[in-house]
Amino acid sequence: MLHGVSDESVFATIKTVVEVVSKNPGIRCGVDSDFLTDLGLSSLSLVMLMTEVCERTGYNILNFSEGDLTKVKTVQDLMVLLKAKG
Amino acid sequence: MTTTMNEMVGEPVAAADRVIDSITARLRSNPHKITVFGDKGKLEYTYQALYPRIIAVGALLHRLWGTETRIGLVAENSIDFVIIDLACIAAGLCTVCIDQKSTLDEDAIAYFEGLSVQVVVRREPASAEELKSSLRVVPYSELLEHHEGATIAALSQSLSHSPYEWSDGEFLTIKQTSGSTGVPKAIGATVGSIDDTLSLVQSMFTHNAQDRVLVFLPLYLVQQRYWIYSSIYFGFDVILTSWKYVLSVMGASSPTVVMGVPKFYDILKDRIQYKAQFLAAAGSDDAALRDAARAVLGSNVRYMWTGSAPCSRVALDFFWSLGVPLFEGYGTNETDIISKNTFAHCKLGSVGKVLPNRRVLLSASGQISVWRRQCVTTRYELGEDNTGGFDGNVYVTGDLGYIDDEGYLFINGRVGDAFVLESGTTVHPQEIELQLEKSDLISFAVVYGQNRPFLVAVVDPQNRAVDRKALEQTVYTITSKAGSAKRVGRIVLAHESFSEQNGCLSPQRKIVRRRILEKYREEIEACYTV
Repeated sequence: MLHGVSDESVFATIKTVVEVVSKNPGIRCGVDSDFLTDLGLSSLSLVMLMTEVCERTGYNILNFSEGDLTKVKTVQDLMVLLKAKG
Repeated sequence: MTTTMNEMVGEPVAAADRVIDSITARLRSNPHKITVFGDKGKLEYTYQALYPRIIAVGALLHRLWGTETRIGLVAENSIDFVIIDLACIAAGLCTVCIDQKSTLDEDAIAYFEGLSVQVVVRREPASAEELKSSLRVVPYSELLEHHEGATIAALSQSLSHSPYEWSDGEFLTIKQTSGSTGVPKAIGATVGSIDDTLSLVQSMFTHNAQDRVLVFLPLYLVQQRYWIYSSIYFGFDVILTSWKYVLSVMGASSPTVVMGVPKFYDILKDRIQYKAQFLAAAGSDDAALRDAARAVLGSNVRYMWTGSAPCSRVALDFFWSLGVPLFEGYGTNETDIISKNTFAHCKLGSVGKVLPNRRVLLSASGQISVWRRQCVTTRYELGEDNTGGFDGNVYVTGDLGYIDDEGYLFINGRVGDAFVLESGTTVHPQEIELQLEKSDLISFAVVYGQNRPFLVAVVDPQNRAVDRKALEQTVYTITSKAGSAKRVGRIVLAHESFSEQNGCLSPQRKIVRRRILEKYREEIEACYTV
């Protein structure tokens, strides 16, 4: 749970933002999806995604170190990171 | 020798300000501040508050290594790095900066050793492997936390009264570039060339005490450190963050000036358009876009700066339509800035007019050579031919371009990239690629056709679920405008977005043509056998 929000809800938020950032509504996105290789995001698009997800989940992205953010490769990684700081 | 077919000469100007030589003295009672946004939140420092630490670190550096040593710096966008870099200037030490790395790999060690660097300063202490190399790795903390004692106090006082006096021809820093063959090369940036560049940029954009310049690209790039040097000398504030935080920091910190690579502006545009969707219900689309732009950019942006690769016309038009000037420019690592669009002279799609103290020479084939009064000078070619690019004191850029009737410079390709179709038609692929990348459907395109009957484009679409027929139609429609000989006959859809990770983009987010053509060679060949 993140801020009292369920994992399902966090995943749904990430999926919604993936659709926006990839400009691909309905894109196949699972917890194991790799942002760059499976979802086709560029490293800059991934920054936009993480910024949007943090805004939507009420997180300040500055709470994460650059090292933390660099390690985010998959949807699962991002969920784990958000939970760890939740 | 370059055959001069056309020449554009920037107006000569008086001698540049002695920016670098004056920085240390100007720190002392400087009220301007550097605001750092990072994982410690928001921290503000005035230069006058940093001054004693900078001087103390400078004194320590001077005591440890004199002025004859080059200092390797593993850069990061932090106040610690800024202090150490400014301390090197105070102490008269030439820096060799590389991008942030937690350990030095073989290439990094070879790079430093090739430049006679013996000491490397970085965040982390030396690893066991690094202890075996000839380099001495010194953690930031060793310099920042240990400057007590009578000797350092005396040296600090001495340095404070008489900081190192730089001369025009000395190297302030050695720039690292990737090199056309992938072998790292290094270019010495002279103090005179840096003073000239900083003075010209200030004369064009008159940064003042109300300005806050957002710096988020990595500080190992000296062009990013230029903003810090300028802010100290000319008197304005800097907002420093990393590219991982920049989208969040930008709206909250309300910068007046932003510098980014072209693809950054595509992302900013997307973010504004995305946010505008939620605001549109409350008012007109136009008002929603403007409100979204204020939320994303902050409300004080005076202008934005880009270069290093062509900026998409879509992004340029978008920001100008919102009343936010986005200025493209042109330069090379070897020559620094050469031309720039400005408030006074701007033509979208061009890279502006040639700046003072520079000359652009165009050969019969359109190749651009550059002369400038203050040269950046020596290239250290690690493993490369060390005469590459220079013809006397003129730098042969390898870029192709032309000058229009009003004196604006346009870049339309690279010399090595041009090819000839089976029909004998010469094609400059970048011309066509830039047209394709104006489409909302296309992120990147790479055009091929050497000795072939027609052109094939490898297309990286903006939307991976794009309708292929619609994409093909778009490509044919756009390229037909240049005549049937330059129409793209078939397309290859990229399997994955071009990125630095897959080697299809450079760190400056330019396409790596050779790599992309290699990667898609089979699909390209198949287009000619169908």
